Amino acid sequence: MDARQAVGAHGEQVVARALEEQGWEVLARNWRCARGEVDIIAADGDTAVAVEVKTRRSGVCGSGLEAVTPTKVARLRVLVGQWLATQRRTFAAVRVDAVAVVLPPSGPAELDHVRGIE
Amino acid sequence: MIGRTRAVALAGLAGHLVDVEAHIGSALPAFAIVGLPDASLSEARDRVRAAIASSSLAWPPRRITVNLSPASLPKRGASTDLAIAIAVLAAAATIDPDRAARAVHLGELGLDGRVRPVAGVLPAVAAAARHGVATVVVPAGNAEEARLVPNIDVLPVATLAELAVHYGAREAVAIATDAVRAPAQDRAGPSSVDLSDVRGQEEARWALEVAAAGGHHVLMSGPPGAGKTMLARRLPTVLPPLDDEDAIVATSVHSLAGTLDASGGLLRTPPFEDPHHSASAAAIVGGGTGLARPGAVSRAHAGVLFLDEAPEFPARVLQTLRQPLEHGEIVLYRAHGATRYPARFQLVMAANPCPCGNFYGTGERCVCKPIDRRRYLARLSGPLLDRVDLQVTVGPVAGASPEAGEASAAVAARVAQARERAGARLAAQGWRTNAHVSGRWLRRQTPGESAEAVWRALDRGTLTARGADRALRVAWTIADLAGRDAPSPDHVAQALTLRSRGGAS
Repeated sequence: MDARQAVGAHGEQVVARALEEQGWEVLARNWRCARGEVDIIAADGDTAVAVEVKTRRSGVCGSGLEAVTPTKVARLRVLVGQWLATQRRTFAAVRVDAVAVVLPPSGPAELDHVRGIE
Repeated sequence: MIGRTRAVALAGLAGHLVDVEAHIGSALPAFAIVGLPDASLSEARDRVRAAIASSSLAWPPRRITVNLSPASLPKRGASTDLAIAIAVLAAAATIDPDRAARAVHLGELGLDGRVRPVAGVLPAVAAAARHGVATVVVPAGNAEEARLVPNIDVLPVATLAELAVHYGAREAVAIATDAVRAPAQDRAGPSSVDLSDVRGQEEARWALEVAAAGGHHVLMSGPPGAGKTMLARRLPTVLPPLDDEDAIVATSVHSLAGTLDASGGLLRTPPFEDPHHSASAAAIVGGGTGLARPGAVSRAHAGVLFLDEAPEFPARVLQTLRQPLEHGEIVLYRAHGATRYPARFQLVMAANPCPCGNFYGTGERCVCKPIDRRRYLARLSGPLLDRVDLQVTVGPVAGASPEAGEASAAVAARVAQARERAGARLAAQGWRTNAHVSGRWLRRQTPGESAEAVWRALDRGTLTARGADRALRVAWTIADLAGRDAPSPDHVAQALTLRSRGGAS
């Protein structure tokens, strides 16, 4: 695992922990199938949420949210559908969220969570 | 999270207040402008974003929708850049939203965050003042122009950062702070020419004085080099300065056309426009896609429109002059609506007597065929010439060193007096100068014995009925110049000689 991947993995770890602190239930991490990978799948109450995490070490190049393209969002929708098909549990709704993480050299990470992207 | 402010959209010279709203929605970053923007306004997206970043201000990483309301009104150009940036910053709570909402903002943004001057500031600020707006923020380069409008506070800004700090932003820093100047207008000042430059040509000078006093349209025909162009250029120097109403309208037109040098204040010298004969109809009357921009006839409003080599203009172009000559304004229809511009100008045309230019005196040096000569001047259509009261011949300069003529100032003083006399007489009818007087009024008011020469010429068939009206109109102007209450037979005789062009009616 190179430095870039380590940063990404750390960001996902930070987000997963933050979601659990909010009372979410993390159901899967880096769930993958033939069509791609979902960073985090969690249950927000009775809603299944696919969470895309974008980690940056600074805000110089803009927010990580800007890197979430419409194509990526469309793919996440398909993937969360595929994941649901493998589950026994049922959900009232399905949603896709994006979280931008900034990991400064020192100090706490900054999270920017956008719900229900499309 | 909604930020609001205001801008002005111009349709012709009429300004409409536009509400600019910015909404920051919880969605992936995007920036959309809605509300009938044109191509250059849509590009505001990229300019506004870059300008905010260059001012060290944060760009909200969310979906931002900017709405320009009323949505049905077409908006164009870059002058709403500043209002869009302020609305976005207000929505992000980077600046105080209440203070930002009160003012009207005009200005184009540079990528470095500087506020660039825009065209049409004068009519836009006047529209804001008319709607009761207390403060208008304008580019520093347009400050002088905006201050010409009374009853409104003008806040000139050089950079977006400066304005953001004024509205309470904490960390705004401009990367470049010197103000962008409005481009200097290269204008051959009418003050640099004077009627005393013209040597000889007593008759033509007299015609020019009469034209100035009565507001008459003029056609000068004569050989090349006789001084027709020189004379025409000096007409603005003998015309009275523009009154307040004309000055504001004329300045607004030039502001919109981007040809205004605001450092001199309101335009007081009558403008002079001399489009080249290759000009298209759109260049003369105004044009452009979507909504039309002012053309030469509007830039010449309250001044002089000079057509040198008038027969060389395409007939279609000359025909377009008929509406403004008739109504004093031009209405241009385009896909996005009709635009109305003022166009009350004094028409001065110069023409060679024939294609080779030598058909004067005995005409022996002329090499044109008779049919060519006839066709040449026939290009100036009857309906157009009907409106030209003075049709004079300017002969070649005679003698070795003719004396320098009278200076413009002396002529202008006589013209001003004559105009005052005419204005007092015609005010009740709503006319400004003798050129506007109706034929009916002329036939009623001209003393019978004075008009006799005209009726005789009419009977003989050397003058048409319209020609008779024109001669009487000019006679009244000559009487005004002479300080008389009504034209004498002598004045009428002079008027008849001032329309001597080749027996034309």
